[in-house]
Amino acid sequence: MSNFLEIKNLTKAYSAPLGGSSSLVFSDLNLLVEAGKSLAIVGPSGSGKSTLLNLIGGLDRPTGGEVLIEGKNVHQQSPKEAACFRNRTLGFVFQSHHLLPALSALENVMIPALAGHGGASGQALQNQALELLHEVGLSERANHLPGQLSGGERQRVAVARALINGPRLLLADEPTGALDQAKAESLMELLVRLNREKETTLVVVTHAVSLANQMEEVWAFDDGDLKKVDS
Amino acid sequence: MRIWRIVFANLKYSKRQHLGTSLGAALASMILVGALTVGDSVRASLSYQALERIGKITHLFISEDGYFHADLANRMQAGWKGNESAQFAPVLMTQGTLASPDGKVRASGVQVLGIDDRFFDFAKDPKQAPDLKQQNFWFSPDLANELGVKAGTRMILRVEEPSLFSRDAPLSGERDARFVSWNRPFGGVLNSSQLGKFSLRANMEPIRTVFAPLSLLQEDMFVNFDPVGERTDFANLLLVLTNEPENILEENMERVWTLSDAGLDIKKLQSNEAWSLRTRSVFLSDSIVDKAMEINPSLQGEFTYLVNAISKPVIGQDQSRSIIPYSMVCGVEPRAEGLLSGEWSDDQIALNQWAAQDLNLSLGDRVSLQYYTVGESRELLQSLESFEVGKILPMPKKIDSGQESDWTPRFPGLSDAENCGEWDTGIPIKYKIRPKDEKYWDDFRGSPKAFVSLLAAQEMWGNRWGNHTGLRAFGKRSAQRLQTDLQEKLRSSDSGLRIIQLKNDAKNAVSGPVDFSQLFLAFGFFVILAGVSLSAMLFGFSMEQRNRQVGLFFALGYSPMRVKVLTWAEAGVVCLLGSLMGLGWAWFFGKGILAMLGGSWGGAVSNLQIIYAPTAQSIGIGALGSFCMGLFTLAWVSRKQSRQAPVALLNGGEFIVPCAGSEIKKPDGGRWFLVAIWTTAILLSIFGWLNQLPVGPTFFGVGALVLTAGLGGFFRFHKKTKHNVGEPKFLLQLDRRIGRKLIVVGILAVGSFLVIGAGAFRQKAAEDCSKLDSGTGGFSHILKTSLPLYDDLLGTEAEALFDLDPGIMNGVSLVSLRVKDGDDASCLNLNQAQTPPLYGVPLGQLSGRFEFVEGNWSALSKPIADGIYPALVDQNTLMWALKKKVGDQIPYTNGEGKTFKIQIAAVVKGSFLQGGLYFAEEHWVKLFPGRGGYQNFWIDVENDRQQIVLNHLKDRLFNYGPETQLIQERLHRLKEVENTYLSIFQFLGGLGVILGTFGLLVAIMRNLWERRKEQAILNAIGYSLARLRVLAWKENISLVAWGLSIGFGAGLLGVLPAILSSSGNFYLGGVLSFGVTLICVTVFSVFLAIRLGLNEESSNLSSRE
Repeated sequence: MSNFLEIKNLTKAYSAPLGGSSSLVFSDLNLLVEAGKSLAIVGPSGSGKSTLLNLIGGLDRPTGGEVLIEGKNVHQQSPKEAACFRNRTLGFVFQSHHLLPALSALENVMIPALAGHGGASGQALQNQALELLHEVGLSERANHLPGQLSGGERQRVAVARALINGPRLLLADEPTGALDQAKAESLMELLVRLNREKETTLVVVTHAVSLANQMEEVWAFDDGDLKKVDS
Repeated sequence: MRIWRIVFANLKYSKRQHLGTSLGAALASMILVGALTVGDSVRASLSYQALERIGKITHLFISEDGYFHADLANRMQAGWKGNESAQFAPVLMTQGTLASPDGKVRASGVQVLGIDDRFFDFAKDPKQAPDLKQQNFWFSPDLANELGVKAGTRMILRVEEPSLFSRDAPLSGERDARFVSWNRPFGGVLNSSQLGKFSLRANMEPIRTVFAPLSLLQEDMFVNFDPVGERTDFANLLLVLTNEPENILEENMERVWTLSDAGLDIKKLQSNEAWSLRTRSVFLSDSIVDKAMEINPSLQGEFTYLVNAISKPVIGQDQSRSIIPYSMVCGVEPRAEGLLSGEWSDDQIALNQWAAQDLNLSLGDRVSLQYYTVGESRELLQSLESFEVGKILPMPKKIDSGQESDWTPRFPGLSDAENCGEWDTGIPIKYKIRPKDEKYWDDFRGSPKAFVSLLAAQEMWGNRWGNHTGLRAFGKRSAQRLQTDLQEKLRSSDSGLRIIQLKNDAKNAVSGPVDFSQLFLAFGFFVILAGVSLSAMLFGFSMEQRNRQVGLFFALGYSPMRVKVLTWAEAGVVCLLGSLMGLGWAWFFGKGILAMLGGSWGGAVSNLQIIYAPTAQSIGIGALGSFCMGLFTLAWVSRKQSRQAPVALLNGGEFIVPCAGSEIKKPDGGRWFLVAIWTTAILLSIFGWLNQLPVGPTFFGVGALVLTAGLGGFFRFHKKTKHNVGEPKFLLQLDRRIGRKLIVVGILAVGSFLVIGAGAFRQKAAEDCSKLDSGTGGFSHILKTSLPLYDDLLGTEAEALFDLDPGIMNGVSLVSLRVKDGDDASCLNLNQAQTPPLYGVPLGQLSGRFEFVEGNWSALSKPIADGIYPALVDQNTLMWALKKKVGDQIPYTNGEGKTFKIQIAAVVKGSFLQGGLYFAEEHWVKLFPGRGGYQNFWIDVENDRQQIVLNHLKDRLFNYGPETQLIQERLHRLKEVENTYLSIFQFLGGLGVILGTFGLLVAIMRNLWERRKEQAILNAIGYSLARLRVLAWKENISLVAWGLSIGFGAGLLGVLPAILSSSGNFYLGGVLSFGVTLICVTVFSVFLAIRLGLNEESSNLSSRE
C-alpha cells in the first residue's frame, strides 16, 4: 500500500505570548501512514499530540519540516487550496464538539458541504446527512439542537459532520476526552467501524491507552520524540 | 439548507449582542438621516417663505431710480407676443412712515406698495382680493402684528414726494424733502395667500408693508412730476407672470416701451422748425446724449443753468448796483449759422440787450458769472467765472403764461413760479430781486440773459447727472428721425428699466449660505463616529465570542473569503436593522432639532418658522450612508479573525492571545514619530499665536495633532506595559484589549476636545466698544431713516433745516452713508444674498477705524479698472454669505441699467459691517446718480451723552422715520448666531461624550464579566469584594484619566494661541464648567460599572462552578 500521510522532520515551537524565550514542542518528527490505516497517537498532556494533529490538518503552521498528504505539502497551499483540501480530503473530530448551537443536529452535519467546494446539495445533501446520522445512531435526534443532546450524542453529530464530504483522512483529537467510559467506548467503536467500512484513514489522538489499542497502529510521544508502540 | 441559514441562525442566537450593535448603527443612522432631513426642512421652509414672498410672480421690471407710465402694463398685455400667455400688473413701491393720528402708534421704514386689482392675480388666492375702491390701507401680517391696530383705525401714511431728479443735484428744488401724506382707515391684513408678504428682498427681517390703492398714491405723489403732460399715472414695478424666457419679455418690452416712459420728450419749440430733446429730469444723461448724437451728429447741445449773478467788475462802488441777480445762462454750441458764431471763444459771453443795458456793458467789456455747484452732502460751492462780452443779442420774444423759453427746461420750483418771490430752487436767495427783475420774469420767464459756449457751460456746471439740458434738432424730418431712431436705439434698460428673474432668484436664494444638512452632519459627525465606534466595539465582542465557530469553519474547509461573507452578511443584517431603526429615531431627532431651532436655537435660523419636510432622497442617502459606514466598520473589526490560525481560534475562544512568534518585529520608529507630532503641534500653536492665524483652523490643526500624538502615546504605553507581578493579573487583562480601550479613550478624548473648543470659542460681547479698531469701529449707534437726508447732519445747512441744537450736537462724530438696498448678506439671513446692499462711505472719515484682515480704507479710493470698484466687506460675510475671497468680483447693475463690478479689496473682522459691501462715496454717487441722500448714519458719541443726542436726532428727524440701533446690540445679535451654532455643536458633542461614557461603562462591565471566574478564585482565596473593586477602580480610572487628559490637552493647546493673543474669544468659564461636569460623569460611570460588574454573585466561586 502507498503512503497516504508522510511527516518529515516536523518541528514546532511556540513563542511566549508576553515575551520571553520560545518553547519547543517537538522536533524532527517523522511518520508514515498508509491509506485506510487507523492510527492512535498517545502521550502525556502537553507532549504535542494535538499540536501534531493540528499540523497534519493544516490548522497550524510548523516551525520546520513538512506534512505530505497524498504527496502534497499541506502547508504550501494557497489559503483557498488549503480550505478546499481540508474540506474535501479531511474530516475533523475535536475533543469539544464545536457544534453551532443555533443549528439542529442535521444542519450541523451539513455545514461542511456548504463551504462552496462542490459536492452534494439540496435534498441529496439532506438525505446524505440523515443517513450519516442514522449511521451514528442519531436519526431520531436529527432536528434537535445541540443543547438538547447529551455529550456523547453531540460528539456523534460531530463525527457525522466530519464524514459528510467523504474524507479520506479522519483526524480525531481526544474525541472521547469529555465522555464517560461507556460513551467513550461506544464512540471509538463507531470510529473503528467507519474506518473499516469506508476505508477512511483514521488518526486519533488520545491519552487513553485502552482506546488507542483499538487502532491498527499506536504511536507514543516520548520526551519530544514519536515512537511506535508495539501492540 | 443553504448558507444563509447559518447567517440567520447566528443572528437569532446572538440577538442580544446584535441588538446593542444595531443600536450604535441606529444612532449613526439617526444623526445622518436627521441631519439631512433638517437641511431639507430648512430648505423647504425657505422655499415656502419665498413662495409667500413672490406669489406667482416670475419676473419683474423695475425702474430703481425713476418711474414709468403705469399703462406700460396695459401696453405689454395688449401687445404681448409669445407662445405662453403673460400677465402684468403695475406697482408703485416706495418707503414711508406710518403713524396713528395721535402719534402713539408708529412704524418707520415701512415698504409702501401702490397696487391695483391686477396685483392679486399674482396671489395664491386671487379671489380673496380686498375691495381697493374703499381707498383703505392694508397691512402685511408682520406690520399688523407690530402696530396692533384694529380694522377701521385711521392711520397716517407719509412718503417723500418723488423728485424729477436727484435732490442731490443742483437746482433740484427746495432743500427740505417734500412729503405727501394720507389719512385713511386700516382696512385689514393681507395674508400670504393675498400676497401680503410680497417683498423683493430675500431677507429674514419682518416684512412690513402697507398696501394702498395705486391711484390714491399716484394722484398725490406725482402731482408735480409731469407739469407738461400733467400725468400722474406713474409706477416703478411691473409684475410679470409668464413661462416665457427673459429674452421674449425683453423683446415685448422694447416693442411697447416709449421715450415717454423714460421721461424723454422731443419738444416742439416756439422757434420755427426747431425741436429739442428734453428730459423731465432736466439733465440729459451722457449715455442718452451719446445715442442721440449717433443718430444725428448735427444736433445742437444746450446747457441752461441758473446763476446767482451776472456782474460787472466795479471797484469802489456799491456792488448791488452792478449785478443782475438770479438769471438763466445758456451754453450753446458755437456754429457759423448759430446764435454764437463759429469763431466764438470759450471765454466770451453774449448778453441780451436787457442785460447789457442793465449793466451798461458793451462789446469787449468783462463780465462775471457767479454760480453755485453742489459738492459732497449737497454742500453749495459758490464759484465765479469771468467772460468778455462778445455779442449783444436782441431781446427774445415775450413768453406767454404757463410757457417757458425755448432754451430753458422746466426747473422744479422755478418754472412754475408766478413771480420771483415764489422761486424755490434749492439755493439761498441772497441778492435782492429788483422790480425790473420781476418785470423780466413776467415778460420773458426763464429766458437766458446770457449765452456762453457749451464747453464753457459744461466746465462750469457739468455734473454727474448730465452735461446737457437739451439737444436741438432743426427741421421736422430731423426731429421725426430722432424720435423714431432714438426709440429704436434706446433700450428700456438704458433708462434704468431692468428685468429681474424673481422666481429664479428666489430659487437660488433658497440654496442659502448655510447648508443645514452639512452643518448638522458636521456637528453630528462626532456622534456618528461615537455610535459607529460603539457598534464596532459591541460587534467586536460578539465576534470574539464566536472565534471558535470561525475556527471551526476554517477547519471544515471554509475559505477565508467565505467566512468573511458569512460575517459580513451577518453584519449587514445588523446594520440594516440599525439603519431602519435609526430612520424612526431620525424622525424624533429631526423634529427635536427643529423644535430647538424654533426655540432656544432660534438664533441660528433667524427665527424662521420651519416646517418638517424630509425628502425621500435624504432618507435614502442617510440610511444607505449609515448602513455602508456601519458595514464597513464591522467588516474592519472582523478582519483580524480571518488572519488568525484556525487552531488559535478553536483553542483560544474569546481570549486569543496573539502569538508573539508570528509577529514580525519592526524597528520602533513610533517614539520618534510621536515626538515629531508633539513638536509640530507645539510649534504650530506658537506660530499661530505669533502670526495671529485664524483661531478656528489653528484650534483644529493643533488639536488634531495633539489627539493623534496622545492616542498614539496611549497605544504605545499600553502595548509596552509589563505586568506588575504584585497585582492580580486578571485586572490587567484589559491591557490586551487595546482596541476597545482605544475606542473608549478615543471617544472621550475627541469628545472632550471638541466640546472644550465649542465652549472656549463662544463669542462674548466686545468689552470696549469705544476702541476704534474694535468691531464697532468706535461707533456707538446706527441711525437709519426711512427717507433720505441730503445734507451733512453736522453742517450748518442741516442745522438750520432740522433745527438741530449745536450744543447737543457738539462733540458728536457722525458718518453718513449712501445706501443701495439689497439682500442682507449677514449671518442673520438664511437665504443666499444675490446682491448685497451697497454702501457709499466717506473714506476720509473712517481712517483708523475697524480691524483689518486685508487692505485698508485707502484701498477703496481708486477704481481698479474701468467699471471695477474696490470694496470692503466683513470677514464673516465674505467667507460664509458670499463664499468669496479677496480679489473676487460681484456684478451689479446701476440705476441707468449699466453693469459694473465690485471687487473685494479690503476685509475687516468681527465687525457690525456684516451684510453689505462698502465702497467709496465718490464712486457710489457716480454709479447711482439718480439716487440721492443718506439713509444710514454711524454715530460716535460719549457714553453719557448718547441718549440725549439720539433723542434729539429722533425728535428733529421725526418726519424722516428715524430708527436707532445700539451697535453692540447688533454685534451681539451677529455673535449670537455663531454662539447658537456652537451650542448645537456642544450639544451634539456632549451627546457623543455621553456615548463615550456609555462605551466606557460597557467596556468595563464586559471586561469584568470576561474575568468573572478569576474574580471568583481571588475571592475564594481571600480577596474581599471591596479589595477587588479598589483594584478594578485603579485599573479603569486610568482610561478616564487618559481620555480626558488627551482631550483637555488637545483643547487647551488648541486654544492657547487665542488665549495668548487676547482675542477676547476665549471663554474660560465654559471650559471649566464643562470640564468639571465631564470628569464627574465619567468617574461616576467607572464607579457604576464596577459596582454592577463586580458584585457578590460574580465573585462567588460556587455560582461560577
